Amino acid sequence: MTASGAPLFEARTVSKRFAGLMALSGVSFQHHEGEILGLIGPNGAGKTTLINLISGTLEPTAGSLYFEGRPLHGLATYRRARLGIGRTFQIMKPFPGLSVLDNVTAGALFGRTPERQMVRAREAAAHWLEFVGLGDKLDQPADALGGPDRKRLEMAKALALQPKLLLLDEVMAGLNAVEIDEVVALIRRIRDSGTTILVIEHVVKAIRQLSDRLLVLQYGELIAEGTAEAVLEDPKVIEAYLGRRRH
Amino acid sequence: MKALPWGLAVVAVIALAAVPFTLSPVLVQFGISTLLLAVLAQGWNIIGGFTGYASFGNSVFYGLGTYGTAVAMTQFHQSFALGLAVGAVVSVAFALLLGLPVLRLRGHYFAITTLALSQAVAAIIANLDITGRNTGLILPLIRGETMFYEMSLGLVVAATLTVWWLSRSRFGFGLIAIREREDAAEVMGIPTTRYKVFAFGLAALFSALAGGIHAYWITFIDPASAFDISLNVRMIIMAVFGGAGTVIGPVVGAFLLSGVAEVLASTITGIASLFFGLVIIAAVVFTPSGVITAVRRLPRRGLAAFLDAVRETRL
Repeated sequence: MTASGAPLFEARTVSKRFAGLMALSGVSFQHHEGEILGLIGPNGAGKTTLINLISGTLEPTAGSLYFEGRPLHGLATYRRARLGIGRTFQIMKPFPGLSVLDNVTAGALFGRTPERQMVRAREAAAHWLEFVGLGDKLDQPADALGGPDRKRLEMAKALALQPKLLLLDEVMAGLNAVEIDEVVALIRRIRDSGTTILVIEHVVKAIRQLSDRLLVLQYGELIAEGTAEAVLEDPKVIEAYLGRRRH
Repeated sequence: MKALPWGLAVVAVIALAAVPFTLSPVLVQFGISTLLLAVLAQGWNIIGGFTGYASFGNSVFYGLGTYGTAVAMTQFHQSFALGLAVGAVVSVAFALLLGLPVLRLRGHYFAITTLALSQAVAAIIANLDITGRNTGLILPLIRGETMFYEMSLGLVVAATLTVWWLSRSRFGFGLIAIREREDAAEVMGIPTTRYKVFAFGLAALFSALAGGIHAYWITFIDPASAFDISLNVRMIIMAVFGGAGTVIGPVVGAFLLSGVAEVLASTITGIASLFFGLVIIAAVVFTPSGVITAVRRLPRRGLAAFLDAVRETRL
């Protein structure tokens, strides 16, 4: 577990085209082990597309992705999950007919270090639900949960995979200030337990607190990269993204 | 499962196994066709109830099992056991091969494609010399209602045990996750394509064995009866009526609906199918997740649960 040296994940000049639209063009960055990397940018900048490329739901039009030095090209989504790439969905996708516990059990059964016994997998799932603060809602149907709890469920599902790299797609959207503080603390705890995290977020205060490093996307291009302080003071970023908010 | 349901299941199987030795031949005949329908409903339950793919291709699996058995026995003079195996292999191979492209489709598109598939296969069979073209095949006659009955019962037990295993295994859990939300299942590390195709093959196996037994029992097959799409509709109705995605629901559905159909046919003959339709509509309205689920809930929450179910359907 070294912070320096070879990155856990690397994108090299990655592009994604949807018909006439370049959703991402020539994006390159490295993500080191143990690091919380923040990804911000206006709506439509390509943030979720980038997560879809990493998790494997989409393949890049050009460029390559590397995880632990290995190219991800052509690797099925489920294989990437088993290698240790976990993600949440911005539009949450619980298994609606299953209990909260069974939603997370899926991850424990099929993840990076799978528990093949149902009983053991359910125990692991209960542990992760406890970890995200849903320990008292194990038996509830997943579609009965309210918004903030659904965000926590999404995180527990991804955590049950025991990912090395966790991709969080706007897990704070729609939460109030108190709930945001709780999720920030939760993400810190996940990192402290040894997981590398990529966070997409619109809540600037939270991303400033969390990120070791910040990437800014605009119109599919990476326009800034660096510490939160430096990036958020960058005139390019202020003009492109934050300027509208400050006045 | 606890001891009580297991005990009940064992008693039920023993009671059913005793039927040919105690009751009338007519009842045995009714029993054979009901048991085979239960196998088909259970086969549909694997791909439709657990995996969430409403297949209209299961009657193809049944038909291929029928023809595989019949061709092996009549054209190549093989034993029934080998015929059954041939039918099963052909059918499962077909399911695995066709499943790969067809299971990429979802919802209505999957249903329509499997429906078209069944028509296409029937047309091919009707034009091959080895399958007897449109006239069909006549199998060697054998007197042995008891044997057919006990074989059918054994197949129901095997299919139900398989589904029971699904309901508590890692593989079955993967299928349920696919049913609930396929893209999320894939992200959770579930090899969705492989699992779906395997479930399709498992459904084909049981459907084909039922077809093979039926062919030898009936001794005459032709494309129209072997690839009858209404048989597929009956599988679905029975599975859904009893409780799709449950272990015992499809079997209960097959018995109840076969019984109702039989009683209606013998009492009010002419408009029996109309009443049969009414029974099904009532069942779907009052017990949307199947008779077996409703029965299981009753003792726990009593009448209130029943009324809730009625209210949920906004009657």
